[in-house]
Parts: sequence; structure tokens; C-alpha cells
Amino acid sequence: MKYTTADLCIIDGPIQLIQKRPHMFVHLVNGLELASKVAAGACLLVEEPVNLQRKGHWWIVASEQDWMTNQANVSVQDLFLRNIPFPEAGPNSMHPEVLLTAFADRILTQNGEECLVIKGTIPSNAEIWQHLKTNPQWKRTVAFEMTDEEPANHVSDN
Amino acid sequence: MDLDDNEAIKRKIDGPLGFFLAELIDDAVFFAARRSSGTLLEVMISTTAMGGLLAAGSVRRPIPHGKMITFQGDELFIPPGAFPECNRRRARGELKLLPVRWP
Repeated sequence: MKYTTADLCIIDGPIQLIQKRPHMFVHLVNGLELASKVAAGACLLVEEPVNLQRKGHWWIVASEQDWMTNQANVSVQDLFLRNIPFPEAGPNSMHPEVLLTAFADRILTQNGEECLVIKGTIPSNAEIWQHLKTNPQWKRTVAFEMTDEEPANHVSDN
Repeated sequence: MDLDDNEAIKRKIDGPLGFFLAELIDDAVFFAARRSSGTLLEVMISTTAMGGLLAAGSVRRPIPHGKMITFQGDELFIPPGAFPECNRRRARGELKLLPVRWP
């Protein structure tokens, strides 16, 4: 059979797959599991301690060493939008930040003074900003808000 | 386009060198999403072609799980040594490729 490029379905990033088949990526869609995945990824890339905190509906992963800017040809935005291979974690691995884009309500990331809102709107008077200011030693912070979490007793359909 | 050693080297991301087919479409979407503008093709393989590929060193096995991802199905791994067999079978019409839509 002959076909042309017009017949091809272009896969533009992994977010639709993650949302359609969440249990290929996580056991439970909740803040703790997502934060743990981001922290585990960071631990493979930095030598400094990686912190995981919860503040209300917000989850925060932070380190005194930036784990995001040492990826060649990969921007911080790419890590949140694309399926970026993660060879440090082994074959067929991917960086975990894109999972947050699929599931979290709001996401921000901060590199010292430089701040980037990845998803949602975060007013300048939001409490999360104040919390981040109290930890100036963090060289990379990822904070995300989860308001609709899968309960821990959920049975996966896998 | 035939399978080609040099092209495989150029496009390798991780894992062993070769050509990989996922059994299930959702698994295939994961791998397509690793590529810039990746796409999906369904490959229909005749029973005799599958026998030839396996005899030439191809292996059907569960897809190795990566960090952050658990696959649901198998893969057919075609190592470079089996590329000529794969290309011969395709030229004979024993492997057919068709575009497939997702989701």
C-alpha cells in the first residue's frame, strides 16, 4: 500500500499518552508519587541533598544544586513538555517533570531569582512565593499544586 | 526505506543498537514521542517472515521498563545482523507497513 506524509499521525509530545494511560507512568496520580518521581530524577543528577516538602496542596522539590540546566540541548520548558530520554536512569527512561504537566493544576520552577510559571496562573501574592523566598539557598525548585488526587486505596486498572 | 546500520547508529537514543517494534500501540506512542515529530506505522509480518527474522537473530521479549515508565506489551528487537533478512522479506511483500491513527 502506498501512503504519503498526509496519512501519518504525528505524535507531538507525551502528555496525551500520560493522561490517557496514567498507570503506565505512576501507580497513583497524587502529589506524593509525582513529587517522589521528580525528586528521584533529581537525585540521579546532583550530589547535593534533594528536599521534598508539602505545603497545603503544594508539593515542592528543591536542591542547592540545579539538576535541570546540565542537560545539553534541552531547555527547562522542554523537560516539562517533551519526552526527554534520561540515559542516567537507564534505557527507555524519561525525565519525570513532564508528568507534572500532565496531572498538576499549577506548576512553577525557580532557578535562584529566575522564575518560570509552567502551568496555570499564580498571583504574585500567593503564599507559595513567600515560602520559596524563605529558602534562598535552593538553586532549583519545582513546586506544583494538586487539588484532585487519586486516593491511596485506589486499585489500578493495570 | 530499508533498515540500515548507519541510519540505526545515527538515530540511536539508548539501549542496544537495532530496530524495535512495539506490540501495543500505547507503548509505540511512548517511543514516537521521544522523537521530534515521531509517527506510528503498523507493521504486518507474515508467519514465514517472522520465522526468518527470528532465525536471523531477532528476539521477541517484554520491553525493558525504564525509569518512570512501565510498558504493557512485548517488543520485536531486530539487531543489525538481521536487517538484510528484514529488507529481503519486506521487498517480497512479507512485511507490510501502514500508517495508523492514535488515539
